[in-house]
Amino acid sequence: MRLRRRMEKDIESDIREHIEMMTRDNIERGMSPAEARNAAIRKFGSPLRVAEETKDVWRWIWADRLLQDTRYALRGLRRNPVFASVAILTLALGIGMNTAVFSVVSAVLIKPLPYAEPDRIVWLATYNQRFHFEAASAPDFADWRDQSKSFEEMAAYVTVDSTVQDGDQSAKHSFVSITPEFWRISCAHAALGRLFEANDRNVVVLTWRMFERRFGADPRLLGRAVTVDGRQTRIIGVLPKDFRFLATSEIAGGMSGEAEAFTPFVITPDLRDRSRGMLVTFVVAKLKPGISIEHARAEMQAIQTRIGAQIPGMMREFYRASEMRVLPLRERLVGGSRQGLLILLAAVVFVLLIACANLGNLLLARASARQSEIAIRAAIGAGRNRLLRQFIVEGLTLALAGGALGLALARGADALLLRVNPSAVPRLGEVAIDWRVLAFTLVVSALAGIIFGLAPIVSLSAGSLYSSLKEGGRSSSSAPAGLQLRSLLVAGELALAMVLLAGAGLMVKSFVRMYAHPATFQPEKIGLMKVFLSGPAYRDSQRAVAMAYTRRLLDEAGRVPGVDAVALGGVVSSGPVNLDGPPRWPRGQEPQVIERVVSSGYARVVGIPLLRGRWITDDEPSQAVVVNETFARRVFGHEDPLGKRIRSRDTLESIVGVVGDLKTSRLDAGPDPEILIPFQYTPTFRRLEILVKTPGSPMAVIPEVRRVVGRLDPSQPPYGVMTLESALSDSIAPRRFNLLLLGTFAASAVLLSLIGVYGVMSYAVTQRTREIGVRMALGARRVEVARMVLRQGMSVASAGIAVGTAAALVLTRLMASLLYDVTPTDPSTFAAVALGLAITALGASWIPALKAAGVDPLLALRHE
Amino acid sequence: MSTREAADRIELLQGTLDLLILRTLQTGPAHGHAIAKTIERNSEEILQIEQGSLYPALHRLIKRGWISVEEGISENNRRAKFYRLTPRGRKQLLAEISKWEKLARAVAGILGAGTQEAKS
Repeated sequence: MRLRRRMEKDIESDIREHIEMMTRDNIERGMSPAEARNAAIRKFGSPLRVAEETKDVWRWIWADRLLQDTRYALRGLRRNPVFASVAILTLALGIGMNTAVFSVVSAVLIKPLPYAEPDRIVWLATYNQRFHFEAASAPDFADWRDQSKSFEEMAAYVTVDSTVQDGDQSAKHSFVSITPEFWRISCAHAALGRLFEANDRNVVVLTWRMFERRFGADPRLLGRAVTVDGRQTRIIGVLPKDFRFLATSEIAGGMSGEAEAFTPFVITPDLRDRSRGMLVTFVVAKLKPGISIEHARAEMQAIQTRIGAQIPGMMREFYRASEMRVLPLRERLVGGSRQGLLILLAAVVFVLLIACANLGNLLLARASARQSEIAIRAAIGAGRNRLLRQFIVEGLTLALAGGALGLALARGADALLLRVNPSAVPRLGEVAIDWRVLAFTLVVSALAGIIFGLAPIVSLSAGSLYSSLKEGGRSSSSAPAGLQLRSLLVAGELALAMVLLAGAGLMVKSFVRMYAHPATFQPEKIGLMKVFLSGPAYRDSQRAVAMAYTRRLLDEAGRVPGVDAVALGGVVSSGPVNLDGPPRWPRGQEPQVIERVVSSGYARVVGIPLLRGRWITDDEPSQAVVVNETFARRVFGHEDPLGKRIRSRDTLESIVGVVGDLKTSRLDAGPDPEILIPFQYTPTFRRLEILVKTPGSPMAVIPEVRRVVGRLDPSQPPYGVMTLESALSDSIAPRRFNLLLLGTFAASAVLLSLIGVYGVMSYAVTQRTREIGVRMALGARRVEVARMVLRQGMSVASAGIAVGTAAALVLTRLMASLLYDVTPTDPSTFAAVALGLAITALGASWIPALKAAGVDPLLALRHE
Repeated sequence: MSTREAADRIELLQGTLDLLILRTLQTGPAHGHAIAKTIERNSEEILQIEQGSLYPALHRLIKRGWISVEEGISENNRRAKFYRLTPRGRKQLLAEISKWEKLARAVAGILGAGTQEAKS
């Protein structure tokens, strides 16, 4: 340090002294003093600049060199625009995909929930082992809230599609009925007006979205009364634009879209008495500071056990089959997406590795072309470290350029994902390129740059430097080492591509399996529509009114021109089967069956095949139901189901027919045991799912049907209009999301490894031009030469594919939960994928092989 | 500078100046001006260095510990800095010389081969 200061301080006087000496010399040679001084300065160079440069020596040497290396790297890239653009594009592709996937992972899995102190917010529910259902009941919630000490606040909500009538306009909206504690848990504040409190009744708070879409963002709206499900309700506030409710599709309960409005959920004494065991309520709570979730869980389990012990009669069984669950809210919301996202992240890293291998190959090729340059630089004093740094700086320069472009690609990709599939992953709407994503991109780019930047170094050991100098830059004899490394890289690429392809192949096969259904079932020709009879006119007691409405609906909608048939066909409940007679299974092990309420037209509309017995008519003499094949097999085994009797709620129904299995609500679940009940026999029936069969696309006819249905009772607007086809495809939205991404990655991987194979084979042919010339001169036929090149290419390819297959056999097990009806090691998929990849590799070797066959032996030999 | 002069004179390769400085100091300590003069004289005036470029090089060598610096009195009885080769610098010089000779041989070889090829 002292030395440095002294040297820096004295530099000006040293320079002055030096110039004076030169001037004196010049005077001695006979120049005039002025001339002598000018000549000295000319020869010395600018004293100021020299002083500056000298001081720089003591300053940031590394920064200075970095700049120098970067300039050098940039110059090199400018001289090689093709190389530079191929490299940067490859990287941009790899880094862009990684950034896009990471931005999703970050938004869904890493970013805290958009509430204050999100880590303290938990999800409380009871999981019923008989019904396989997780939720809470209102009375339980009230007990939890009164008895627990671990929580600062606890809130319950139920969701429902409600009719909002404003003047003569009525439409369905997704409503959340929630206790006001939620505002304190989420720390939400109103953007306009106020939020409701404990003693508010018949008020509603809108989300910004509904405020804008339904009411045109008119602030005079506050205080206005609208009719919600037949009840006068005052609009008292609007939530801010960035407020997000936590419900995901899985825990959305009775609402069919994103939450649009909030009303106070009041737990009346009547509700507390009546609804034990009705799991329709959801509960969130905020832990007190310093209370661990384990502590809260233990407390809640104790409370729930106590509640169960005090319950009399039948209900006690229900409580015994339930277990208390306390989970971090974030875990509850996104836990189900974690595995899929992590698999995607791993897959996309594979793509980046392939891109890096390709770049390593490119740089290797470039390094062998630059070998003499590098050797000279080494010889005139560039240390090994300096060279190393130069390579790394070159790699980093490329990588950062690629990263910057990749970031732009990622933004585009994110926007695309949101457009294509917004509901596939919870919290997908929160995806953004934020600091986490930027940091990730920077780190990934830097790592990539260092990795592939170092590839050329491996081939440039000290010995090879000297030999390449000796050969005057013709690197023919140092080729084998380089070629070996390049072949290794390409084999590695193919192995990675094989793993990705196997994964994508298995998912494609899952999709084929999911969409497999009989030809009579034509979901693209079936339109769906819902009506939820709400308001005082249709309360449970008024069954006859609802029935009359339904009959008129079926009748009038069926007469709309262009409609083949209309039917009801919604699932109303699911639960353990209840047969007439002595129990066949121990408690808790009964098969789960779902109940679907249908009208007689259902069979015609969905094209369900009748296997045995008969179909139900509109006028059954007694309570008749039909079951599906799976039901018959799982419940009755080899016995004849016809004539057997089933208990549904309080009535006995006899089975009159067996129909084929059909997946009409979810594609990615095996067919459930299903019991089809005529709507006339269901005691409470307000949620109508209407299916309309048309000869062509239903969307052309649906508007008219909708108008006709809307006219039946203007206070009951139809909603949820879509084709059955898109409803089915929505049911597998997360799977489509995964397939879309994994498919894209696999395609990119194949493309990149195709380029890799082509590159390395072209290089090999160029290296062996002379040898090929000799072979031809000695009588080898062109076909044989081409075959030789192909053989070489295929030996690399098959090694890669073999390793990849072995790796895939292990790795695809991790994605078992993403598959449907396909084993993770499905032999036919593996065979098809491996064959496809081998053919691709063969194709990529083809052009180099043709080039080899086209070698002119005379030219090749003279070349040397 | 006339074109003829420019054609005869050779710009120094990067890194070579360090070698030349070390070599010059092998015979004993010297001040900046003396080093520059020695290099020019010994290369029969073919190697023209911009004398200013000596200073960054000298300081670099000091920083690496290959030369040291001491105050002294120049031949004109003026105070000046004298640079002296350190033992580490001496070792470095030997290494650099052998590297340089390899390079020179190799380059000469290439040029020789090149002339042959050009002739054939």
